[in-house]
Amino acid sequence: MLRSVLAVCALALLGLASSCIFARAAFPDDIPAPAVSFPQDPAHIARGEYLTRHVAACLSCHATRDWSKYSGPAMAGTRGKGGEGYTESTTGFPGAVYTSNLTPAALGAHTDGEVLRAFTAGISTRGEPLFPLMPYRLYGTLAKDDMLAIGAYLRTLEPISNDIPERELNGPLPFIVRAMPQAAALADAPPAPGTTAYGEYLAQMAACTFCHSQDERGEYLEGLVLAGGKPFQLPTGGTVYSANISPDDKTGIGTWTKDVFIARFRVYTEDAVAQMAVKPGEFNTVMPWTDFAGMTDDDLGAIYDYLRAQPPVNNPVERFVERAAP
Amino acid sequence: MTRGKWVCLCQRKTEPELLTFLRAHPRVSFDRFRKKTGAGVTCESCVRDLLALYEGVAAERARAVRPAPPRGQPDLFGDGDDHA
Repeated sequence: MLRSVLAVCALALLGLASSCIFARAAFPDDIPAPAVSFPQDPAHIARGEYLTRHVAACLSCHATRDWSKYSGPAMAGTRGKGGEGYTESTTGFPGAVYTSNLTPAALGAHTDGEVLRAFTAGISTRGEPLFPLMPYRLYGTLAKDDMLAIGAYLRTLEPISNDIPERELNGPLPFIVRAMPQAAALADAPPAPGTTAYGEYLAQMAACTFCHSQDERGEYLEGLVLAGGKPFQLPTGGTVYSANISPDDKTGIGTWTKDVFIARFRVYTEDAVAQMAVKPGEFNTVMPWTDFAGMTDDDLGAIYDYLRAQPPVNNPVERFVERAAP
Repeated sequence: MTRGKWVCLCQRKTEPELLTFLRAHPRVSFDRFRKKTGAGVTCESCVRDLLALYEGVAAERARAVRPAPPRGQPDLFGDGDDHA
C-alpha cells in the first residue's frame, strides 16, 4: 500500500516537474521576432507619437507617475523611462512588476523586430514573457503600419538610463505568464477613419474595454462588458473602480451627447491637472486623462460612436472606496 | 458592493442627474451649478468633472442653435446629419 502511494506521489511530482520544464522550454521562445524595419519618415513618426502618447497612452505607465496629482500624470523628464512599480504593498499586486524602459537607452541594442514583438506578442527584448498588465494582446491585432509607427516614434525618444528592478511573481504566476504570449496577427490596415469600426479600433488601442470591464482570468464577465466596476488599488490608498461606459441611461453614458463626451476629456490638460492636488487616501484615478486629452475630436467622437453602439448594461459602480479591494 | 465613504460631495449626484439639471437650466452659471450640486467645497478633481459636463452641455447647446442647411445639403456641420 505504502509503495503504491509513493509511486502515485512520485508520478504526480514527475508530471508537475515535466509541466514546469515544458512551460519554461516551450514558451515563449517559439515566437520569432518578425523581420521588419521601423519607418523613418516624418509622417510615420508623427502618427506614432500621436498613437503612443494620446491613444495607447504608453508613456503614462512607462514613466514615473505623480500620484500627488489627479490621474497620476507622468513626471517631467520621465516619459518612456519605465520603472513604475506595481507591488503587493502599493497596488495589491501578486508580486512586483515594473514597467519597461522604452527609450533608446534600453531598446537601442535590439532589432526593430524584437521591439515590435515585445508590444504585440508579449515577449520582452530579453526573450522573457511580459506580464499581461501590459495589454500586448490588444495591440497584437491592430494595424501593422500603426504598430510600426509606434516603434518608429519610440526610437526617437530621449535616451534615459534606468535601473529597473527584476520582476517577482507569486505562486504559479511565473509559469502561467510563460504560456500567455501569442504571435501577433496584425491587420493590413486600420478601418476607415470616422467609422464606428475605427472607433472600436481606437478603443482597443486605448484599452477602454480592458479597463472598463470586469474579468476573471483574463476573460470579460458575460453581460458586463464596458459596464465598469473593475478595481484598481491606488498606490496612495483606496480602490478606484472603473466607470460604466456602456450606453445605459442611468448608470452609464446613455444620456451623454458626443459634445459632453469630448468635453469630458478636454478639461484634463497637463496644465489643469498640475493644479489638481490629491492627498494620500483621497479619490484618484489610474485613467491617464492628460494623455487622452490630446486625442482629436474626430477620434474621441469615433470612440463615442462605438461605445454608443454597444449594448447598455445597468450596473451602478461605486467610484471609490477608501480601502483595498477584497 | 459595500458602500465606502464618499470623499467628495459632488459624487452624491449621478452624471445623468447632473446632465438633466444642466439641460433644464440653460442659463445657470458654472458657480451656481457647483453650489447646486454641493461641489466647490470638495476636491478639485470633481470640480473638473463637473466643468467637463458643464462645457459639454454648453457645446451641445451651441450646436443645437446652429441654423440648419437647406434640405438635402451635405453634412456641412460635421454633425453626421445631412438635414434632409
